Amino acid sequence: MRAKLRRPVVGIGVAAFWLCLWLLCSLWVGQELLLPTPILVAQTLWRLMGTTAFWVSVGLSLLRVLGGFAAAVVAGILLAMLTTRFRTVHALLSPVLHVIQAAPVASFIIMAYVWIQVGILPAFIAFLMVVPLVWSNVRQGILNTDPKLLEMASVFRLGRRRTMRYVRFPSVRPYLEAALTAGFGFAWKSGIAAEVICQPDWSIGQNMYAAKAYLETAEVIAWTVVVVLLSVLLERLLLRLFGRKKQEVRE
Amino acid sequence: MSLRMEHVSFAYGETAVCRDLSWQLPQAGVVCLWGPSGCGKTTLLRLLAGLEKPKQGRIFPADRKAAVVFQEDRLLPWLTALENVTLLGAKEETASRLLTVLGLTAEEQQALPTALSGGQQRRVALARALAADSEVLLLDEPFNGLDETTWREAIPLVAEYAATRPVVLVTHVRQQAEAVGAALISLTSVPLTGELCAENL
Repeated sequence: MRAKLRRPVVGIGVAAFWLCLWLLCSLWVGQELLLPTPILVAQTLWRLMGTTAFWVSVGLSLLRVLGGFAAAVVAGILLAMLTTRFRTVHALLSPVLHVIQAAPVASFIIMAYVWIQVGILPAFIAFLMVVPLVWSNVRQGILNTDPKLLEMASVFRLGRRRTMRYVRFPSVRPYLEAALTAGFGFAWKSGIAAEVICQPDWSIGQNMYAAKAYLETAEVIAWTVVVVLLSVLLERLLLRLFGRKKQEVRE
Repeated sequence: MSLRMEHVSFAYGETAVCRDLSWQLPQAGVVCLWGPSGCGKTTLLRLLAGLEKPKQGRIFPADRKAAVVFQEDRLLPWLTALENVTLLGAKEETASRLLTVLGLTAEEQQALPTALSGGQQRRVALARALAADSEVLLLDEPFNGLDETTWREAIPLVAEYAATRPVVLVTHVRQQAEAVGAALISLTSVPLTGELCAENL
């Protein structure tokens, strides 16, 4: 019980420390344009939350990124299955997926800006960032499936569907979960970055860019807080969906 | 139709395990394969289970239904002991009865394999093979890790199966073969050749 109570108390203490430090720094700098106080940022966020534009922008940004993310998960799994099954497909696709993994996200945003409609570009970028991650993790999971269990399934004539359900999927599941949790962060950050560069209508990125252009530093930070909070919230939701809590790091 | 091997040859790379080997299994009863390590006992089981294909010769019937207890337990770690047994289509009460006879409590039957001892996992693997819908039971050192009292408790279950179908048992413990009333096949030379014949213990 004491340990249960200790964790949130420590969390609040840590947050209070950083907020105080931020407040002191902004008071010391003395210019809201350079570093607004956390109070001003909170006030700005509260004001933004009172507008319809805020909620529409947040909703549409979420929709774009989640759409790209979902498509990437499906494509990543299919590619993993294909590249594990067919060597030629692996030989062909593997370099492409590795290049996507290694190249900076800004390069893709700029290139895709030329080819793709601005409205769906963040979804495409989120898709592009997550596909290689899901592909490589799921492929690893498939390859690491215990051959002895597969042999057992074959001897006992478990059938393709039940082997998939009881042997293959549970073996791949931890790899997929790791890819989804890490991939969601990637998708969200790269999607917002794409929005900032391409500024589709009704998007968090467009609002951030406008705030920057008008030197509304408090608003830029307020939007950043929204992005971070949504990222944490959705990641927790994802973990809950997997039916497990984030592993606690014990000292 | 009883299970038989006809002029089977098999090799791992250059190492021949059997050459022109024939073997007619009985319609029912236990046959014990006996011999030193590396003499091809497990390979014979794998051939009968259909996990290895003969380089030459044939094994009949081609669509035989085998149940196997491997040297390792090969339990699905994400399913409970009971689910590991019912997975193959056995009714829950049949599976539970087998596990109970083999000494697993109701609580242990609901536990994941990782929460069970090595001996208990072995018993789950044995129950799974006994519960499976099969025409032949292939046991590769099935009582490894079990104390004498426990493996003796398992013997009637194997005997019950063997009353109607053939069982091939690989073991290094002669008392186990004797307890189950097995006919003995001594494997001495590699590669195995000719006709395998069983002698009564």
